[in-house]
Amino acid sequence: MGALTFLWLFPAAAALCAWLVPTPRASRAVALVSTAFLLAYSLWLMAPFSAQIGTLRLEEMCPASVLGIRYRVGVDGLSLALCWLTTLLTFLALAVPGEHPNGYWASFLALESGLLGLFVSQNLFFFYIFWEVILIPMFFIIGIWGSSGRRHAAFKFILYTFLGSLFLLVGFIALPTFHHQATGAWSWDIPDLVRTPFALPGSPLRGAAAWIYAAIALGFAVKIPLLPLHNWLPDAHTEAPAAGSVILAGVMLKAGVYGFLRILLPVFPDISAAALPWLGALGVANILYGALCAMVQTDLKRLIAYTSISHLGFCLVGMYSLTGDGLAGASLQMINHGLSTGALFLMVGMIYDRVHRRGVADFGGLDAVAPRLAFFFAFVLLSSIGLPGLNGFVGEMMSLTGMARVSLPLAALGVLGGVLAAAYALPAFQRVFWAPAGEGSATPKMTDLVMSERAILWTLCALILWLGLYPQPVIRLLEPSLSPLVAVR
Amino acid sequence: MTRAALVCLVAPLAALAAGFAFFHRRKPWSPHCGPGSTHWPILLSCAVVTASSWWLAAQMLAGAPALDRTLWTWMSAGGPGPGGLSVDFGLRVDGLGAAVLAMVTLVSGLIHAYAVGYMRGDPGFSRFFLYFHLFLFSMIGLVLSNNYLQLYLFWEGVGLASYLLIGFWRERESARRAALKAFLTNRVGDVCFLFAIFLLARSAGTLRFTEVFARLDRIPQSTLAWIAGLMFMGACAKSAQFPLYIWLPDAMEGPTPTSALMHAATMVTAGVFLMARSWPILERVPGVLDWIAATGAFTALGAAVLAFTKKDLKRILAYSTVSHLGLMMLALGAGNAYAATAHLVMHGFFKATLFLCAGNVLHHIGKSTASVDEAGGPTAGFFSKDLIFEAAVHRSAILGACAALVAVGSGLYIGRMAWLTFFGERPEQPDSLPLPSSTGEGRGEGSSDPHAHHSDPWLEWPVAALAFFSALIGLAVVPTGVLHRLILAAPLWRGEPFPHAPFDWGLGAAALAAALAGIGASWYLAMAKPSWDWQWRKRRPGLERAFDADFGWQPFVMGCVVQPVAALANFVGWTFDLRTWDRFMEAAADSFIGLSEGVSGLSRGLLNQYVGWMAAAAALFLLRLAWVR
Repeated sequence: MGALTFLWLFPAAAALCAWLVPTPRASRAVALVSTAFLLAYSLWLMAPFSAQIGTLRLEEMCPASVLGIRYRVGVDGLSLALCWLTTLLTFLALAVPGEHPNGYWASFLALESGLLGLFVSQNLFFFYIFWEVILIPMFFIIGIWGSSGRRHAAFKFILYTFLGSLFLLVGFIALPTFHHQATGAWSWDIPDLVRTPFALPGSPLRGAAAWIYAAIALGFAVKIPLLPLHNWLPDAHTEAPAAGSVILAGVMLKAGVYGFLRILLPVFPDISAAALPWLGALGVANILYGALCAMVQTDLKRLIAYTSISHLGFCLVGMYSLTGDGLAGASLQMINHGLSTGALFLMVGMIYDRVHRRGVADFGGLDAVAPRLAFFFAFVLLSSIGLPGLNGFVGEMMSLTGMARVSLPLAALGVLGGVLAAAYALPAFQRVFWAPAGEGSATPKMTDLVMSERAILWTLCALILWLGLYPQPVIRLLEPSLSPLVAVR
Repeated sequence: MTRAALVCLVAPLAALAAGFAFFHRRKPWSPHCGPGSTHWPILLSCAVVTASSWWLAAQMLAGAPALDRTLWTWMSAGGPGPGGLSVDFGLRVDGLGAAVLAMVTLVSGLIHAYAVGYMRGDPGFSRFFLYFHLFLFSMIGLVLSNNYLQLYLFWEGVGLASYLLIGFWRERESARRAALKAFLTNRVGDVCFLFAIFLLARSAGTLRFTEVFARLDRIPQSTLAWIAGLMFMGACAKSAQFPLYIWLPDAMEGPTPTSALMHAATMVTAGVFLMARSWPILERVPGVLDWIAATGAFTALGAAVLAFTKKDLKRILAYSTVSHLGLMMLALGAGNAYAATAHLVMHGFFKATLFLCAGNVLHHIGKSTASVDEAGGPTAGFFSKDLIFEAAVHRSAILGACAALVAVGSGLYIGRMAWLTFFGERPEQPDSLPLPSSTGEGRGEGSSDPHAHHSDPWLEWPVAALAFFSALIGLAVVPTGVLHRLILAAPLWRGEPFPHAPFDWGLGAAALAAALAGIGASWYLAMAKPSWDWQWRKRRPGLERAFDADFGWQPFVMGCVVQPVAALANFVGWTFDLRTWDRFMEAAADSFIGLSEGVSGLSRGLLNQYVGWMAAAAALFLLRLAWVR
């Protein structure tokens, strides 16, 4: 078994194990040990990348194929970075102290397996299988272990994303068919499809290609989510248990952006260039719309959910600038958003576990009761609103400089998101942590963070600071995957 | 030199880390941690930083070449050249930087020492010193940056520290509001500055000062004008110029040492410093320079008038800062970046002295012990103000007149403040007494402090030292041309655009006369006709309201910017997103359920029906095939 097959099969086996062990405590132990091991293992995978990284590494492929469908995996810098993000966030999210039944731990391990499989797949068919597989454990996580509105949120989540997947499926079936018509050979392998010249200008398939592009983009857009297909996100994020929100926001949304970077942009470079003003504008709309919505939220989790919409707008802006710095910024923004939003959801979860409330107005003066929590919250929030020196700034800055090369008005509108970010984050922070507690406030019941929680948050904060001051190693890792996409120089 | 510059950055970082890690072991960041001894590493760091920055200044004065070196690559993507972005962390020390750095570190160090006395007994003592030192660290980093993005990093760091300090007494609603106002207003300016950086990255392909200024010839004039204008907007927010000055008067919600630091050394000077740094860009766009001069003159005059009408001691000083910053911008606009920088340095010294005096007044209400130090203010500022005066007169008569008016005005308000505070004992009009505690406008911080009436050496010696340095530098360094040589040592400005003119006695006498006229007039109004101050307030309540609202600008910003944005957010977030769009999508999903129930009527498990459907479909398929053939 190859290293990458092991990477996604191991958590699947661990999920089975966690489900079958007799007690929840044992199940939790299985989950923690296996996710910790996977984190170490995925870091160890970087060994072959120590030198120059250009093409796919650690490739495994099945020689036989049916109509081009075959098992094929491999990683490049982009996939590897997302694998790290997955293993890191899963481990940290599960390490938060808490009692849960076997199914909970098993679901998260299954989810991790699906996500890792998705990021290493190099065959469109398996990409789609993993894409669908991750929906199922997430559906259970939201629907069974979520808060009061969980059933509604879970169904909304599954219906929305499933509908998006249908469009994706249509597009995915069309791509190998095109490839067959253009070259006479069947292949679902992503590297082959990227090389296919079928969507070149003058090709008879160009008209159809635009529709295929739209269908695939729609499928990915639901996941990111792009306006106006974002409704599922606030509900799902709010109702999911804390760890579920962490994986949902931290990793699953990135699957959509990853799809754009891995499939859509490389397969259709010229359509992407033509779509630049539209999708760039959509990204800017995401930034502003998400921020405006976040300004009026009264529930902390809902607020953070809307900030995700805003932050992922930067990914789109950076990607569709099709410049070197824009693409690097968009990819960095994925990782940065995963870290900072993951940390924010973890902290709201820590608050919710203690007092079972999470309304902005339910608190006041928390920094007197939980000063450590206040410090971490402020730190991560500042990264989230793009304070330079912390990670959020680097991705946003690079995305916007990229966009400024191709469209100044869009960059100007996007940069306004910085003002709005401060306008949604700081009042809520002041209300929860600074203002005096009101009548019936949940503050007195609150306690400060315990050791393990602090260790988790220190890890995330250290990464946030590191990526804010010295992101260059990560950029170097990502750049070879992105440089073929650069159209504007 | 590299080592000395690095020390300036590393020492505060180490002190912050020590303060954070070791001294907060038991209760990190708790507002309840006692006074402890957190301030010692921080005071030590202040001393080290001051020493090394003065050493740097001495080196520059001795003719050392500028230091400009890269430390590490911050972010770099898309390859070199205009298609990519490459930004480093680096250090730059030249005359301009060294002069500002020397002022910033010395003044801040003394204010740190003063804060030890001032904050003693406050439950947030340790926290205060961490924030305070973060403020200084950010400013040092800003001055030592060698590229625009790094400068922007520390620029925001300064903004963050000011936010934390203004909102230091967070239990107070007013402090929280003022902190938010400061941060948001500054963010507006920051966004403009950031956009200017995008424009630079796009057109110059680099952000390093030396490289940008070397490539200016390649950038079209209109782009340069945009860059300069947007940078000036950024400076408007930080340095409190007209459209964006609104945060500064409220910012004294923080403890008095914060105001002193903010007004003198660390915050408001950043904008002027940025403008002086970017002088090679500015000098190419005369249109923008005119605009800067006009904004500066307008701000200086308006703030001087407003300062004259305020009753709260700190508020008067706040508006006087705005006015002085307007003068610096005026000097820049008039084409003399040297005068602006010189005034920046001088203003740092005397405004810190004034604020600490004000703090002492608040501390020792009723005991006017600080009246002697007061004199340090005008003396030190005089010569650098005179420079601006000269620059303005050289440029045009109107600007000269503005500067003269401002000089009269500042004489007026400073004189009035001094007379009323230290000599105005007028119990017969209790409702119009200028002392903050009795007007009710002050936050009464003196009375909230248990140590209010103690005489603390930490409250005395830093003020005396500051007054001494103000006088020394004002009388010895500026007129003799030492400051001129320092600021213009190894500049990024090509050539020597600002020759040091020997002191012009005519103009100097005119400026002195203007200031004296102002002081005289204020003496007449405050002392000879003491009833005047409350009489006009009583007779013209509308006028007083207009002054209180800054001629209506503050309510205008609230009504035409803040509230519309809030209303828009409300509309987008509630009315549209939740009540309309989300509801529509859910209704659509529900109607699908209805539809599927209808469709499920077609599949009731009756075999003959299925056969019928299959036959129909097959027929259609065959028909289609036949049609195509």
